[in-house]
Amino acid sequence: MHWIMSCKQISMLISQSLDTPLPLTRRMGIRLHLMMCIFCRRYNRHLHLIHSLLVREQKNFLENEKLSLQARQRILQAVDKEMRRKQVRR
Amino acid sequence: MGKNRQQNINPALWLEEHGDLLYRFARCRVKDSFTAEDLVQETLLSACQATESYIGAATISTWLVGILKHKIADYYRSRKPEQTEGNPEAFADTIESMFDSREKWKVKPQDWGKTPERKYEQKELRHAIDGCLDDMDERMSQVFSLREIHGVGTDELCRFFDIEKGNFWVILYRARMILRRCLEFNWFEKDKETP
Repeated sequence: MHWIMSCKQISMLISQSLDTPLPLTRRMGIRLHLMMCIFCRRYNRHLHLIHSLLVREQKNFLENEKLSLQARQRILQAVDKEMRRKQVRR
Repeated sequence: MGKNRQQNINPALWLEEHGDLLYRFARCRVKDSFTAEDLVQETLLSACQATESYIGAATISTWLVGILKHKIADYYRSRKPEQTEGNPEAFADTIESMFDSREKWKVKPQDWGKTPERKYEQKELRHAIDGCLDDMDERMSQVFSLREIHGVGTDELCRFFDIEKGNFWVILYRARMILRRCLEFNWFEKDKETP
């Protein structure tokens, strides 16, 4: 890829950088472009803002999630039934 | 050793000890809690049937999560949304129209001002994100949510949705482009109108 990349290419690469580590040349290409382009700088900031907001939520969410008592009992019954069936077959 | 052995064939104990872990894992990956509960149940039932396949090498929880992953992949395979079939070309035009012929921004990203730091501002922005995701193509918003909200890894998601990595990144890119623009339009631009 060319050293000087277009806004469109940069916007794709910035998105990709949130999901996978990019090779050094690409990272430098992005940095160079960002120094010169205010719109891509804004785009970059916006994507990171959305990302950090959602990541924070993910942590809160996970701490509060547990199997309900009813679900536990229901699953336990299903599992018991299955185990008994299995023993009969043997 | 004797205790380990007993543990190997005791699904009730698996539920007791690993139920919440499995549930949390599933809950992050599917939309509602009922589906997540069902997946945990199916996982344990499969585990009952396949106690022989459990090789002591992996810990019980790793083994169970492995089964659960298959269940989740099955779940997604069984309910592919009708509309676009996860076709990333569906939104190609929208993205295309954001750039000019020289691939420079036509719909220029605007200054969103200060990052929302107050709790209620973040909450409002979060609501706006939900609104934008609701309007999006179902498969696209699914992929985006799993990746960004629940932090599911690239490889795992590609397996869930049976898509190639290149395609996966294109879907995420388009989701982010559309979401960014949607927020700008619905939230930040409206915000500016009211002093």
